[in-house]
Amino acid sequence: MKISTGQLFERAVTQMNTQQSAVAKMQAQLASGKQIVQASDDPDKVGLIQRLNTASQRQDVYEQSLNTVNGRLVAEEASIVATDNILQRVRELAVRASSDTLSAPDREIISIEVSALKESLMQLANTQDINGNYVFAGSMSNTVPYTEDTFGQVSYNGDDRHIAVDVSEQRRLTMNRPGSEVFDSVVRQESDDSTQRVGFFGVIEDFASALKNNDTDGIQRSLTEVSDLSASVSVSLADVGSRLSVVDSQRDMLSDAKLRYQMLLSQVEDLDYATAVTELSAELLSMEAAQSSFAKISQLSLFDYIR
Amino acid sequence: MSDILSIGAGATQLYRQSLATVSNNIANLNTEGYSRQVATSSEGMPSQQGTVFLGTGARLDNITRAYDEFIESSLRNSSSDLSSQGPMINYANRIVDLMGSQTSGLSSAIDQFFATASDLSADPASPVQRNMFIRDADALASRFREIAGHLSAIEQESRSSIELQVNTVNTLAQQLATVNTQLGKKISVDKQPAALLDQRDQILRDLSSVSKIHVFESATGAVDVRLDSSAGSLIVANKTAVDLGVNFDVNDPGRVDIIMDPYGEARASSTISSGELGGLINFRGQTLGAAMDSFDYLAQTTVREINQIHTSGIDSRGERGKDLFRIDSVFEVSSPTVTSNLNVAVDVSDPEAFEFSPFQIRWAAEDRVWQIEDAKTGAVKYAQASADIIEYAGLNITINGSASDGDTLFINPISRPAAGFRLVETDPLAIAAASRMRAMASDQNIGESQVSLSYARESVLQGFEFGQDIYSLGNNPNVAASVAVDSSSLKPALLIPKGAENVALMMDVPQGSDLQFQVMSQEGVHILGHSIDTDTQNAFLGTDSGFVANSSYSSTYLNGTGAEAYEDLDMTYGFLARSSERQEWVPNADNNGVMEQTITTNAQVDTAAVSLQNNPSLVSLDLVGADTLVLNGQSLGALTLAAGDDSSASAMATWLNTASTTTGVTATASNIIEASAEDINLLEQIQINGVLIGSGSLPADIDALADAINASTFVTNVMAYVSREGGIAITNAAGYEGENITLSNPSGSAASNALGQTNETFTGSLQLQSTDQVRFTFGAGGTPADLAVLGLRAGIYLNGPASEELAVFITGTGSANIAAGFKPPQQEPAQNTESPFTVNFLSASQYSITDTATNTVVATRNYTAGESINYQSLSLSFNAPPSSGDSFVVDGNEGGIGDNSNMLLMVALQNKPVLRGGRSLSDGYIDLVSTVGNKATLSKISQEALQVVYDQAVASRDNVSGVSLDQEAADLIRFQQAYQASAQIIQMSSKIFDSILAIR
Repeated sequence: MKISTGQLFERAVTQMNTQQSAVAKMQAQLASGKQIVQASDDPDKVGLIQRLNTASQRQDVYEQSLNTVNGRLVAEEASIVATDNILQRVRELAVRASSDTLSAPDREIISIEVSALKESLMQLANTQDINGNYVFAGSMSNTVPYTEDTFGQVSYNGDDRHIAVDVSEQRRLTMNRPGSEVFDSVVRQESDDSTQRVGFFGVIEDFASALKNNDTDGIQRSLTEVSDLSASVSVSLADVGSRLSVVDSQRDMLSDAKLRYQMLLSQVEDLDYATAVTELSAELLSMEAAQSSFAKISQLSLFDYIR
Repeated sequence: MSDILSIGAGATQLYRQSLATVSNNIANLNTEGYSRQVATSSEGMPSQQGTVFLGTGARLDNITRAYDEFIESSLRNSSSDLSSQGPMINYANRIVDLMGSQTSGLSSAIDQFFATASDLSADPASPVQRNMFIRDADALASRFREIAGHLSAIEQESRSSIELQVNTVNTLAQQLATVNTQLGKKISVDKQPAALLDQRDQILRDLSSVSKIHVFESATGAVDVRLDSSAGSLIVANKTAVDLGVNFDVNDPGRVDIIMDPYGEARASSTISSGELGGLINFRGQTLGAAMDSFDYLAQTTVREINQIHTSGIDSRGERGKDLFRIDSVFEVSSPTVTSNLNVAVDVSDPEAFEFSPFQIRWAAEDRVWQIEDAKTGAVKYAQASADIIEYAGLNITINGSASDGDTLFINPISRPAAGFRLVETDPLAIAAASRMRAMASDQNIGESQVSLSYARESVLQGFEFGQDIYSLGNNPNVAASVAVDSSSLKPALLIPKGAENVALMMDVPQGSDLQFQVMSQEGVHILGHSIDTDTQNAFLGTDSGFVANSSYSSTYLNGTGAEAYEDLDMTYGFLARSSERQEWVPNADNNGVMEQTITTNAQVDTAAVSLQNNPSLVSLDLVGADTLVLNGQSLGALTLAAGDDSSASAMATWLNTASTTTGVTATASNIIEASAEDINLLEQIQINGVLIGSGSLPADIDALADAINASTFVTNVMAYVSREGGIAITNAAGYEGENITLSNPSGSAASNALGQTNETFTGSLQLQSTDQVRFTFGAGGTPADLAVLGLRAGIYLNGPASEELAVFITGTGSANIAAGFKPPQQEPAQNTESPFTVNFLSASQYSITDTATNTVVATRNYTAGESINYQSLSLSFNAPPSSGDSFVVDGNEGGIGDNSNMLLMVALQNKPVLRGGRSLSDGYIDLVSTVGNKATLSKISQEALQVVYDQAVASRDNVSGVSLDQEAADLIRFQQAYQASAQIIQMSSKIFDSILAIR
């Protein structure tokens, strides 16, 4: 079969061009370190890479949320621990005050301390986190949760909303504990068998006034109620503590997940240098061969031999 | 010898020509489309010498062109197929590069948006986070617009490419027609010059790379060319070439119409399936159109879903969230005739006023106005030249640059949602992160139960099963428009829909009827009507399943007014007319201007004729019992009818006026009987109140009849006057207003009388007036029939909008004639709004729901532990059974700035399957990119295969028609030697001749 001269040149040039572009592509791969320089190089992988990137970024988002939650929980824990300590002190005072050996002036002295402790408790109840949100106000984070009126009555201005945040694909973690749960109220049975709810600070206030009035029954009742308050604060402490440990374990799981996604992404995206360099040398070799053989063959012409 | 000489001469000539041919081949080595030429020689005619034939040498037969028709055709076809893959690969790869990259693709913008939403959900009160949310939302919107812009650019590029290719086809067709004309000069293809045929084949080859063609070669070598196949459109028919044109559809990229002869008899061409043109059309149809549509669908879904979530929550000011994104219309401006440099920008200023129809703007230089013409309706508007911005149909059009007279701009709105994707909410405080309602346990609760709130879907709320919508009765409260509605003590007869305003339902009852209205709410609260016994209560609540199942009957708000009314609605059962105020402009005191004045119109009622009853007994009779009717809050005494008397309007007016100091209502009675000129029968007699008019003589005309009646006024106490239309009206004389008027005819058998009226007693009607209102309600035992005595229709009047659907029962016997009047309902946007309420547990198994705003107990229901409470599309559930006395407040989440429930919904949108086929937003986008990528990959595979086929075809052609230098060199040597040999023959014959000449 005859190969025309034009055809000969054209074919050789086309092949050399193909090899050139293959070499250029490999060079781009080696320079960027990625198998896929442009999305159009391998459209099938584009979708997979997008998904992996999205998933990996989402882990970062979860990590950010965990940090926020952690900060919040730490602030809550600190306040609740301090509250617990103060309540222990109040309880001690209640035990001491209920002893028969004390006199009315002694009890009055104790009542002063109780009032001061009540102020400290109120300050703790109105803790703010680093962003200025009131920690124990439920969802009303710009409202001061506990305010005192002129009669010494403390009222709760927040709500009992639990704020939750996504910390992983499956897990939603509650960030706060509303004041109504931490500073829980107690049910008091009156002498006429009716039941009434008395707030946290109401109990302490009643204790202080019972001390002032030297009311031993009132002091006795306050002792039981303060013990109840202490018990519920312990429950809150346990709750916050458990959530903090959840945050820790979630952090570990998150870093595992992140690592996994990074590895998958790397497998799909990154270049295997050993293979790539080998392929490059093979391609360069064949290009050299093509070029030198073309140079040789194109020089052959019958006209050289015609005198 | 001459024969040897001629052989030699002939041979040299032959070989010289052969050498010329070979040289031609060598010279044309690099000429494109050149087919190798071969000089063919044939033997000369032998000459006969006796019995011996001597050859006469050789001569040039023909210079043939090495050409194989089948190989050529196969080369053309494979060239078409190969070039059709190119555009798809090229453009599809560009789309994949654009949309699939991390930096310019949509996925990263979507991820960033949801990441910021998640950060915001962790701290919704933070202004910093809110700002970042807005920033990333804006980034998402601009990414959509950018990608849409790039896709649009690709669309325009492909459009230009197609136009270019069509032009190429036209040019080549013209060239081919010219070649055909040249070829037509000879009659056989063998005689045609090879160069011309080469030119023809080259044109055909170029044409085939643009579009697949079918070639028919005629005997002269001229060709007919059809598009695509032997059944395709004819673009070159011998000497004529038909032009092609192309039309695009702006809204549908896949639609490309190739038109034959667009400026002559335009007709559609056959489809072009291959070649570069076919490849471009395929790309637009299969890939680009689908990609743009999918992307637009993605944009629309994104806007819709995000807005839906955002508008269902409340922002940091406590207001309901507004739309976060909006899709604006996009405008395509084309100005084919404009030569000057005009810059046009079109913006939507008022989405409501904008109509989606194309229009054109023309500059009229003499009048210095812009003329705007709507393309569909042809309506023309003008805009001043001085205006920087032209306002038209809700659009702001800005035109920069100088326009010449007659310059026309065609503006076409196109539906490209992705290109109009815009962020409209830029106020950080207006980001709705919180949910709109909140449920809280009261801190006085004894029980430990905690409540949580969720939103039930709207379909949970069921309307009443029975009953006719009052809107279907027609909006006309007149008696004449009444519709008969059957009474029933089991099912509602009518329904007042939610949101109905200014409703008046009037009932027209016969005398002595016991028909009554009863209005109930869905929770069994009896709002208007008459108190009913337990059996009737159960019957009401039991039959229609629209009543909430575990709700109990309550008559607490029955017929209440003011603060005691149900939900503080302004409602009346009875009769109601109010005074009104209006503002008027009147001249002011100085008479040099106007001032506003409030004009009050008193409440005024004109009743129908009062009922006519007779007391045949010997004792007086109560027409209306004591305390049966209540007027303006005052209980009225009994309306008595003395023995033997007839009831009359004047008596009733007197009765009403006895209470007017306390009720504020004054009543006057009147009685007018009108007879029109046609009714009056001057041939009949008439007796008024028993007195014969005219003393037996018939009056001459109507005036005379009136005079005759007036002549007897002092006896009858009835006077007459001629009305403007020429009829007669008779009424009571002064001092006797409202008395009954009896008409009769002395001839006992006559049905009517001179006035054309029936012979009977006519009662008067009442006119009631009050500066404040005239409000009749019922006391114990009062029924609409009692109002009918006074000539009034009883009705239900509702002023403010009904907060829920209300059922209207009609109890009693028979059917009632009901007429309705109401404010026409407006199309309200369907937004769920709930009003705050409190749930009080009266016992462990019963609770009541109180509407907080109006302090109305709207429902009393039974409760089973573990159930959730559904009210107003909200659902409350408890983690422990509530105790008696517990209360739970549901309010509008005031101050709940730290609440993130709505933002959590936004974050959850990332994985929500909102697209067709249950795909999430990111998945849908990835699918879009993959689809385009797949097309590119397929095309690449096809291209590689087709390349092989093409290469083989080229090789086959070259095998036949190509020039090989080695071959030509060999031929060169051959012919050169032959030439030398032939030259030797001449020399030899010369020598032979010399030897003959040498003989002396």
